[in-house]
Amino acid sequence: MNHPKYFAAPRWVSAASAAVLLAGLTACASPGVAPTDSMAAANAAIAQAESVGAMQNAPVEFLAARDAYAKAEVAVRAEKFEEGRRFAENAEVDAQLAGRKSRAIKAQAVATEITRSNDLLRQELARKTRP
Amino acid sequence: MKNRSLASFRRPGVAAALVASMLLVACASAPQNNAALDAARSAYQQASSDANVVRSATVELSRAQEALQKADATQSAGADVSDVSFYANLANKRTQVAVQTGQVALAEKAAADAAAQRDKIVLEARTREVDSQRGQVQAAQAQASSADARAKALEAQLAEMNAKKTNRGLVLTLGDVLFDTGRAELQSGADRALDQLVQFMGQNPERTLKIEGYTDSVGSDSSNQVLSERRAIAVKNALIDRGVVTAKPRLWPATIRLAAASKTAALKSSSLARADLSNVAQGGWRAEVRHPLSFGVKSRRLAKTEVDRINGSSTGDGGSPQGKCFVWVCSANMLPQTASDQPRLVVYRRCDLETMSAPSSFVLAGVMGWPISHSRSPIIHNHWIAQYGLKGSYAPLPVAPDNLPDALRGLRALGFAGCNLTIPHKVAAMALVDQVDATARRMGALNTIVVQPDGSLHGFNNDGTGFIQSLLDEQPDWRADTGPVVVLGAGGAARAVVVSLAERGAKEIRVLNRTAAKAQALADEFGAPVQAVPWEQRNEALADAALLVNTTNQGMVGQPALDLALDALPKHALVCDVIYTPLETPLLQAAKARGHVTVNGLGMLLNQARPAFNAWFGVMPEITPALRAAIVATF
Repeated sequence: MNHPKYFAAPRWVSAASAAVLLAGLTACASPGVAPTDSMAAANAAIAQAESVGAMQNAPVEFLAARDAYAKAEVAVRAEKFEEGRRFAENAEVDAQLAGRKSRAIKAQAVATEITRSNDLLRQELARKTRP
Repeated sequence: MKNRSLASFRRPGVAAALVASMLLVACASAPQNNAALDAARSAYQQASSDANVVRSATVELSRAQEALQKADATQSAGADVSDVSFYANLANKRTQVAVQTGQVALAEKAAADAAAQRDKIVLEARTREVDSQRGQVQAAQAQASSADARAKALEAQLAEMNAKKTNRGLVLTLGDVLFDTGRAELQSGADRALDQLVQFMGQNPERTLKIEGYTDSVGSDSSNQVLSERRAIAVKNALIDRGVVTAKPRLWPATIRLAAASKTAALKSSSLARADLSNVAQGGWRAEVRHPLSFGVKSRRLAKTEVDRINGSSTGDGGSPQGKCFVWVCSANMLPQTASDQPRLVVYRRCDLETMSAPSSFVLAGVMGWPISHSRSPIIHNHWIAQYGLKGSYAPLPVAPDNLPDALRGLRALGFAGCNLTIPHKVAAMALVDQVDATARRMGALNTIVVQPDGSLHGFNNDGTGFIQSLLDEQPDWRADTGPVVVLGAGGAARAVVVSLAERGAKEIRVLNRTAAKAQALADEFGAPVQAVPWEQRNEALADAALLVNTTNQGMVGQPALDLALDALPKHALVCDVIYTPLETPLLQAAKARGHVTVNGLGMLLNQARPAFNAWFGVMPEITPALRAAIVATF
């Protein structure tokens, strides 16, 4: 009569155990799912960095990102998916760093330029208003 | 039974967990301190204590934290050192990304602050400039209060500019060599002379200017003619660049039209055109009468009256050299496409800056309403534009009520000469224009806006004059004061009718409206000649009336006929309906059957358009049978 109630709990326990088992297996085993999302994120970050002039303003980080991305591609092609994912994540963070550095440099240059032109403007106005 | 069954199902789960932990241990080495992890931790701590980074790099920081937690978890799980290092390095780099994001925010803020600072500097400079100009203006006014000092200053200025007084006015030679041979581009040496001239014009706004270009004798006459014109235009453009205002340049098409018309005129054409030009060259404008000998005494008197009216004082040969306008009389055969043989006046207002070679400009006008497709105004005005050979266009402008302020402000920017207004804008526009004509103020509504040379908007209402003129068209000897007037309705059209009748001396105006309060409000507002009469007494109110005007929509297409018995109306009374669809309302049919002179709404529609067209296009247009036919064809 009460059987369904008793069957429910053990089934959950066994499923959880199986999940733990699976997780343990994937944690250090290479074959698994291809790191498509990480690759896409890295690719997008590189494109974004390039568009804000990272190649000119932060070439070290930017080239590191490209290098890591190339390595990720090689690893994924060899079905070393975990290795590929790590390279991709490195590529992404390097590209982000390159992009941020480039933006910071450019914004700073703009600020400097406007400040300099303000000084010129002030001088010019002072000269004009003098009789 | 219960216990056994529970136990027997649990056992495999425990076994699986055991296998899992064994597997984990199998690929992990012993836990140890990781330098990369320490570096990542301290970098993250530093970044997350920086207020700027926390504010501007929230997402980046949380991603760094995520990687750091993963590194920690990997470390405490006793995973391989390379795994821990990977996450630690990732955390470190993500922290750097957060720090750089903070840098971007700081730099962008610095740029924005600098830009704001620049705006402030410019604004302060402008304020100073305005203040100093205000000071100059005050000084100038103080100077002007002494007429003697001012005259002396003028003299000195003219002397400096090398101006010579001649019978053509002041002649100022800008320089002997302003242009390269064969060229029409000003040399830089002209700047000083032009600046002086602009200053002079600014200080003497009553002066007008005529520009002449000259060439040397090299080259053919015809090429030199073109070159001299181009040089005059170059000087004109340079002056405009310096802020000299061209007043009503749009009047040029009218002048050009006259010249063109003169060419086609048979006999006196060339002398007419020459006289026109030479008069302009007299220095300053003045109103005067010129006419071919073929004109009779009546035409000359007519022209003289018009001149006096416009100048507001006696003029003519002995008049002021700086009159306000220029009147021309020419016979009908000198104007194209006119059927009438009446002599007509063509009035040219003065141009503050004029060159005889100025290209004719394209005049824009239109009518604003919502909806607008029903308006006949585009047909009327475009008919006249074509009839008089003008360059311009009149457009229907659908403007929603909310957009009226923007639309009116846009007139000036778009170079419109002005516009008409129809429902629902007539009243709202009052508050949006810079100046309202007295009649329009009394009517409480505008139907015409004219953009002034300085860009300001002047509002008028021609509905009343259109109404009066439509009466005169049917009965030339009509007068407002011959007897009581009965006005049916108390809306916008009624106001226009009442105001225009009162302005022309009507002694008694009976206003009847179905809602008595509105009629009473009109009577209260306008006082003496206007009386409110109850709607129920409409038949009796006609007893001694000289004029009956219907301003209600009763009798319009789709509306019931007006419920009114004309029996009491004297036979000599004029009967008018402002409705024009249909042209003959039941009221007008009944009146015609009784032998009254009737006036339909088409005359009012056409006549209200004439002054507006004149203000924008510089020609007072005629209402021809062809125009009436063109409008009637749209009904």
